[in-house]
Amino acid sequence: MALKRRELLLRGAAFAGGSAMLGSLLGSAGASDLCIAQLKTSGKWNPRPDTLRRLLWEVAQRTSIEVDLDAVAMDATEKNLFRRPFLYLAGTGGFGEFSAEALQKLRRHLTYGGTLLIDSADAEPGGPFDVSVRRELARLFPRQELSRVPPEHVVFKTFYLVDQAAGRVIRTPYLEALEIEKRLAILYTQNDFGGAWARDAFGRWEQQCTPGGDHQREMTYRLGINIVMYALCLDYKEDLVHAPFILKRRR
Amino acid sequence: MNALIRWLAPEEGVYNDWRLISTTSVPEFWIIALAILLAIALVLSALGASRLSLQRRVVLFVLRAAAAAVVLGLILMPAIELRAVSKVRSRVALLLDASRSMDLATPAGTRSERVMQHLADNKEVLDRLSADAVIEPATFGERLHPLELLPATLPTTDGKTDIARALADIPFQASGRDLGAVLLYSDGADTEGLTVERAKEIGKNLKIPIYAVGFATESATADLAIRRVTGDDFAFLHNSVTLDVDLEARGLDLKATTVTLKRDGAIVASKEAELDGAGRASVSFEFKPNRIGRTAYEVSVPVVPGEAVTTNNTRSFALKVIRDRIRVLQVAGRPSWDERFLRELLKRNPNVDLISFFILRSTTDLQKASQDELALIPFPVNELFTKELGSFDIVIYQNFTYKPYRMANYLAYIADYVERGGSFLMIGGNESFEDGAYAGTPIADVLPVRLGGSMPWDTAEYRPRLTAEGRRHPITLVGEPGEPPEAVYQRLPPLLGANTSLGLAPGAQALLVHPSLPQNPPIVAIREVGEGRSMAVATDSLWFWRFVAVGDGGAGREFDRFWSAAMRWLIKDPELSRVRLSMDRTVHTLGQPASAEARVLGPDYRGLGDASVRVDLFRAERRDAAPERTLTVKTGPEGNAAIDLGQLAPGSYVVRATASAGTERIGVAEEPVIIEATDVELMAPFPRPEILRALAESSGGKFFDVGESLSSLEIRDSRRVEVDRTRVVPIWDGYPAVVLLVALLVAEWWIRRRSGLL
Repeated sequence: MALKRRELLLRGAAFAGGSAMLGSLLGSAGASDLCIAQLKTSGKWNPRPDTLRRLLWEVAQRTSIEVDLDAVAMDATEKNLFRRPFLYLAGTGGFGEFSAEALQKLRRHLTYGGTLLIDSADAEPGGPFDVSVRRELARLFPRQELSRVPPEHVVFKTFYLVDQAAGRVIRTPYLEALEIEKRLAILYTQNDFGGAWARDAFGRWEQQCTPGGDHQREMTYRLGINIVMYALCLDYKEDLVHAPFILKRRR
Repeated sequence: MNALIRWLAPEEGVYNDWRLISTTSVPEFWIIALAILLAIALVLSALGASRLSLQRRVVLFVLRAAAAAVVLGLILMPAIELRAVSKVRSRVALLLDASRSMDLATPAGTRSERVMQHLADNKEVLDRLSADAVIEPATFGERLHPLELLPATLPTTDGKTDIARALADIPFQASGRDLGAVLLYSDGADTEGLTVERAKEIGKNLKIPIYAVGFATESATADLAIRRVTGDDFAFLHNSVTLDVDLEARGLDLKATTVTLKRDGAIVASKEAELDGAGRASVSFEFKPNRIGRTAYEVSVPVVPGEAVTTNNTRSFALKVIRDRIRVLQVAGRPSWDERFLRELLKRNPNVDLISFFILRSTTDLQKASQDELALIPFPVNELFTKELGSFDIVIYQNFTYKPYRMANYLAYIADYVERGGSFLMIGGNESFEDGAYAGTPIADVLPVRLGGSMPWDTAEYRPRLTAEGRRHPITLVGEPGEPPEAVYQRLPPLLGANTSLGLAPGAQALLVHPSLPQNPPIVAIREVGEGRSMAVATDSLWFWRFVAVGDGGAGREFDRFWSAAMRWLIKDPELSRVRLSMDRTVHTLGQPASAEARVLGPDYRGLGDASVRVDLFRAERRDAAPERTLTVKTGPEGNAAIDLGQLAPGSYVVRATASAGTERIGVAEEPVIIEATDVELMAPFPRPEILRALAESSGGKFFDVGESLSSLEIRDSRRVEVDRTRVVPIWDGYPAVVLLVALLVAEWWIRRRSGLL
């Protein structure tokens, strides 16, 4: 739907103003706030600039989590990598191998508690990005493989009750993950979460979500919030005290 | 029989028995072979005379058979053995109960006096008995003590009565004599748990009659006693413990009484007990111990005027309370990395039962979904902070402010929970401490830091500094073995953000302080509050020690060590204490000396020599008053010190050991000790004739009241005989037998010849 110019300007101003206000309300990031680091690769690692800000905005709006809206792009070898336990890796097309130092740092990061969300903007299983990801994961954890996250996993109920792994498209109706000591350390989607989250400077959605449209987009936000919540709370929603409530709502 | 003996040995007169024997030396095998051959010969002979008349055949057969018998007789050499035998008298074990309960009075003298009188009154019966049996007297209590002679008076000094053991200790055979019967004198007041059923079993298995003399008709010793207290001797903290108390009253006009349970002298509960027709009652107490370690409990009933024994109105025991799993309540104001790494650590610990509540959405957050699409649950404030609060060992507020949840009224419960032994930990962030509006609330009264100024949350980076206490305290000794404590905090990542405060609360200790803020506010502080403890960690960046430290090449162990030690300190884990006290036993009987051992450990948890230990002895109900006794000992090179308390008066005590080395106060340890007012003999001194009756009837004996005569007493005959002398008289004297054999053979030959067979 084409928007009138006036409407576009108003929406853009609203987002910018709200973002600034939220930023000022949040103040400078606290030590324990959610800050995301976006990993750089040798390929096109930033296909959806600002998408993380959109996600973090929704996290801040909808949950009690304190966020730093500014995700930081960094190499896996950077010293401050461990100040950000949550990492995001996105891209289109293939990318080159991580250096040995990067692999070692990433391995430590993820083994000692870090979480990595990998998001294929290509949404092309078997495509160049997918091939690169699987290659690097095999180098990172040679004895482990990605496996499908079962629908009853706690990641689908950490905040919202989510029934599907959505995205901009639904190439694979599931999430894949790599577990370390019963914790999902790496989550991989080939449905282009970022594409569903991304808005332009005027607040318009950059991409259409197919086939589910706005509902699918909302589900993608919900799953993104769930993943962030999972990184911060792990299996909190598996505690027995929550079970009766969740079971009742799932009926 | 006697005629045969007189004929064979007329001149001797000593023999009273005989038997037929064989004096041959031929092996049995050959005798059997010979018998078979003779039988074959008989058959062949009979067949050979078949054409003769029947009469002649019979005569020939008889002659041949007689000859065979003579041959066999010659081989076997039979003889008559004359014997002089005598029967062995059996034994009667005369068991006399010599326990202290026999000293109790009856209308006609003490129980022991009545026993001796009964023996005197039945002297004739006993004299008659001794003609057929040897009477072996013995006293018994805890053990059997054989006597040479019956004593003039029965001693009553034994502190226990073990009837089963006394019966088991009687030898069944001694000096070649069998046990024929047991004559048991006792009041039946067994102290080793002998029941009527068990008595029946013992009597049945003994296979010897028991004649028991007891006190069936005595008008009972007037006494109200706590007969038994049954319960586990250890319990889990905060878990229900059940104690069953059995009472017995006799000789008193009593329908009901009050049973009181005390702990360290303070009343825990009281119950009314209604006595049944037999004077018995049972009550149960259920309670939840709220302190780990050993605690002295006491169950008592009031003394009734006229009671024979008053010391059995009270029974003390020690209950060891141990921890099951540490129950931790973690309430976080929002999800954060600080909360996440602490939760992960606690969840990994199998000794921790973690209950978490995180505020995932605040009241101002947008709701873009219906309630059914959310996995959120209501925050159960009322249930958590009233009914369930006492079940937690540690309550953690992690960057949590109470205000949005209208919890102001519940803060007093938390303060009270700490005063009464709970542990409270507040972890910082921009919604904690002062920033959480806790100043002036009951929570502020139990925190180790003082709130009340309008100090902002400080966002700067810093390296906390160890205090003198922090250099020794296990919570902040997080480095590698041998690593200087200060060096640890220089190599760990700097922290970010601090909740400032006015400083330490009274009685609190700072372990880590901010290095540069004015007055160096505490970053980690601890405090003992009433019976409980509190701790403050005035930052939300401690997770840097777990994760950022890994990025610096470490393994994050310092984070784990810090929180593990903090949890253990909060729950007063005895393993963290550097002063340990152990009693030789918790419950002593009257007259038993009490002793203990103190062990003092250095900061490295090795034994600390030459430490001074002041030992104070308090009455359990007056542990805050002046001690009844004080002594000082020094530890040896291994850190141990022996403590001799000697004999103490009956009651419950607390022994407190306070250790110091130079000017440093190391710590305190306490243990209870109980001195029973009475020995087990007088706990339930009532006669129990039913036990004696069960023993007697199941063994084929009889029960007599101490007023009855023993005239119907019978002893089983002895089965043993002794052979004093023998004499062998041969039956075949050689020649007559041979002559008879020849005559028989000649007669047969003549008849065969006459018959034409030869």
